[in-house]
Amino acid sequence: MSSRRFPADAVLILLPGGLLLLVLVLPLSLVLAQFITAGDEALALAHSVYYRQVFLFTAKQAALSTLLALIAGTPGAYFIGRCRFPGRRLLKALATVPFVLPPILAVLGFVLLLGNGGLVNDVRRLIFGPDARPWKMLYSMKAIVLVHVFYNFPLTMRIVGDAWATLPLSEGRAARALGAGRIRAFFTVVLPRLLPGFAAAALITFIYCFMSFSIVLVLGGGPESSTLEVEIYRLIKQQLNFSQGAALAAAESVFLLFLLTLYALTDSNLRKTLKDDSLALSLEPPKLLRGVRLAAALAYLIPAALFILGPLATIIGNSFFSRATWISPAAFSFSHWRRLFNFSESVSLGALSRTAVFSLSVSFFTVCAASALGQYAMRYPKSRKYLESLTALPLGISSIVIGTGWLLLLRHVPNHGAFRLAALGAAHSLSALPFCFRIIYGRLKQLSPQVSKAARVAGASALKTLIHIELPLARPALITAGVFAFALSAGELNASLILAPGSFTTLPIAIYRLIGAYNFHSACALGTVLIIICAVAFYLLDRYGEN
Amino acid sequence: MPPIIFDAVQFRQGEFTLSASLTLPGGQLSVILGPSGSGKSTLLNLCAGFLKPHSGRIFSGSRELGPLPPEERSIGFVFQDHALFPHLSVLDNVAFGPRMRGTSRREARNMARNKLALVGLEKLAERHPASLSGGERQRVSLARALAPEPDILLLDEPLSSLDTSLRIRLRRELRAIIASAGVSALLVTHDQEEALAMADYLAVMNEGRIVGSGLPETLWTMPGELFTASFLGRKCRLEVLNFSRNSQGVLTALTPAGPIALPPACKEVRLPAVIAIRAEVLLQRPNGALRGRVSTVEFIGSGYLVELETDPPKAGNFLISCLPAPPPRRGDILSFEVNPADVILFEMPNFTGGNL
Repeated sequence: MSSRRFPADAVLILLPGGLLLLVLVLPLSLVLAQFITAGDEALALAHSVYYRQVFLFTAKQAALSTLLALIAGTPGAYFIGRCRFPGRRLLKALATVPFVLPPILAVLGFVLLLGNGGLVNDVRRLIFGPDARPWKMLYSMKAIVLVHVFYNFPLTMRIVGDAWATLPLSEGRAARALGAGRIRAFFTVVLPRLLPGFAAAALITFIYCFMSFSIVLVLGGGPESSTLEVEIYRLIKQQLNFSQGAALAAAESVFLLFLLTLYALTDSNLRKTLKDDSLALSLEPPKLLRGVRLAAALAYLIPAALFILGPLATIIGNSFFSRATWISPAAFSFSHWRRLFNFSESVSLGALSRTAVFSLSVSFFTVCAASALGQYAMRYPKSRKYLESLTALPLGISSIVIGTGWLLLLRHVPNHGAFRLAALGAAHSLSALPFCFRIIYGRLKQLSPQVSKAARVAGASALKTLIHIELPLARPALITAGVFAFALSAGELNASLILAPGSFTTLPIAIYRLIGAYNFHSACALGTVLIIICAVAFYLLDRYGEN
Repeated sequence: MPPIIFDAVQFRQGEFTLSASLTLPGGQLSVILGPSGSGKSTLLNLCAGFLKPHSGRIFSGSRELGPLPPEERSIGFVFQDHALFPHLSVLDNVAFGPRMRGTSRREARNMARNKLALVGLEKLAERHPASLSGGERQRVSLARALAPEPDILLLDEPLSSLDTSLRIRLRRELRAIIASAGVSALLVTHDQEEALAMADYLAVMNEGRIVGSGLPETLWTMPGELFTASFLGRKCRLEVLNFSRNSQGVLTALTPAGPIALPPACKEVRLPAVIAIRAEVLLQRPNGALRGRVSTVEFIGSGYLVELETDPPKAGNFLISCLPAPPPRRGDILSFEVNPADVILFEMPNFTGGNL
């Protein structure tokens, strides 16, 4: 039977699979080819003290960020996974906020919070008097690591928290019955069971921080705080040194692919234990927060919530202020909002509408591709594992590298603006694909396969079954995936900076330029629009997108 | 209503091969009984068109179903997990079939209301499936399958997801509703009691093969194959070592547990052969010809189910008997008699001892 249905199923996998290959493998192999043909320069790179320093800094900040994110996230994982208290769901939801937040917004928020005129230093001046020396934290490794921790500690919270929540009751009890004390039981039985969760969280955090671009671009500077991604961008876009840029990109990609393979292994291991554990008859009941535990929870949760929401609140707040001159104090004003929607000053409005149309197309395209892959995985369950690893590839392949590959390809093509836009759309689509695939496949898996059969025997053709039964049932997942892809594309800066043609200013590019021009309040007005888009995505993700 | 005919149907999936030739009477409830993995559900899926046979043909009366897609086969399907459409109300679930066949919305809803009345659920028409109990879902599922008035109704373990008392009540209802709908129904189950209670016509399936079919009473007394006999309650099994005739000329089989007189119609067969007896008919007698050593004792409410090994133990041989109180102890030697009419002899060319 499978052989007879082959053509239809082949389309399901070949279209999105072909896209994946085209958008991922083609630029990547170009980068590698450039690396190999430019042998001498690549060698020079390896001997360059400067780039060795950059590599070391990239690894160092990523390692430090990972360590701190793990430490900061672990208490949260305990509270989310093992305790019950009012607001637990809210906290879990808050933990997804950084996940949908474009890095440029986090950067903007922290610049405003920690800058010389920022809230933190305002408070300092309030306490120590107006002449107190401002606390200089921005534009250093400290700031970079802080933003990375902001981004990634919720990941630890969720991944380890889920592992903690599904620990079978019987194991801890068995250890206690066999004579282990409470602490001993934790270290001998509970902790080893959490290790896969910690490993997965640590690896993915390290990968994200290693690939961090816009945060370092704004907050870093000089070889002592610059990452490989930023250096590739500078080589390609500012110095137009394609061969060295490609060499650096190739070196980075090899290292990241190695890390990604490690992550894929840990992740599949973790999923397996989670699945096995959820089959256990009884899970350990959550503990009610009381007494010391309650105090500890409050001491952790309140700062954590402030840490997550602070930068966002600062952006929204600042969008309603404006300064008449550089040195005059900020006053309440709608002027930035008025300017935003003023047709004569169409920079912002143009960025908005361009972003809307572009991201909508990306979103539509991604949802179609993810649905096709999801259908394929449903028909051939054995293919699921491979599809999951394949669609996870974009997680560990930097969009800067992909952008570089496309530029290498397109720079000889005359009038390649339209091609660059298409490549940019494909790059956006690709980075949203892993999440969209998981959201849609997760939903399809929940649906009983019998439901479609029931529709068929009731007289519906395959097409009618799709329209009346399958699409309506998958709708929440399709909408969630669509909005998520939209938000991701609307907030994406890395590939956009490299690939977008000069006249094509998207929302994040506009924000980035406004930050560069120290026009923070205008940036905040635009940033608030982006926050609203992300808030919708976040709400839907929280409501429908479990896992 | 048309009979359902499986004409030399073959289907392969990996190691598993299904082959079936079977004619199920029209307008009646046929039941296929078999252990899990025997191919019962595969047979239903072949009939509905979700799977395609590698060879052979399936007919509904004189209409060949093979070339038709599922939606054109005039089939109703009741799924084990009900498979109700979660986004539609109960009424729209039931009206779905008529709608898909081009009936107007209003007319389809009227038909759906009638079918819901048939299963006694007209009050729940506006509810959504998530708010229904297991039994209600089952009935909605039945109403939905019957709404387009199909020629054939297929039921895949329709009662197995329900608890015992509900199952017994629902199976009576189900039988009555199917009879009044006048449809040719095919139900598959692994539950022997359910099969016997519901079937107008019974077939037993094992490892992809129909190993016996007929009226339930016929199959019960003349199972045809040892597997059918065991599955229909003949749990007690003894290998025949030799045949002899006593002074009255009665054919007797010698088994590891002792000699057993065979019914008059029974002829000597080539060895190896096996005798199968129902547990309830082994009668404990002080000087019975059959002897065994008690190995396990289970209390089953009405008495004790006792498994006995032959002495000395020989693989694949054991007696099972239902005994009243007091319970025997492990290791006791008990002796039994059996009425020749309750004995069935099977020729077993491949019997090597061990479990069958």
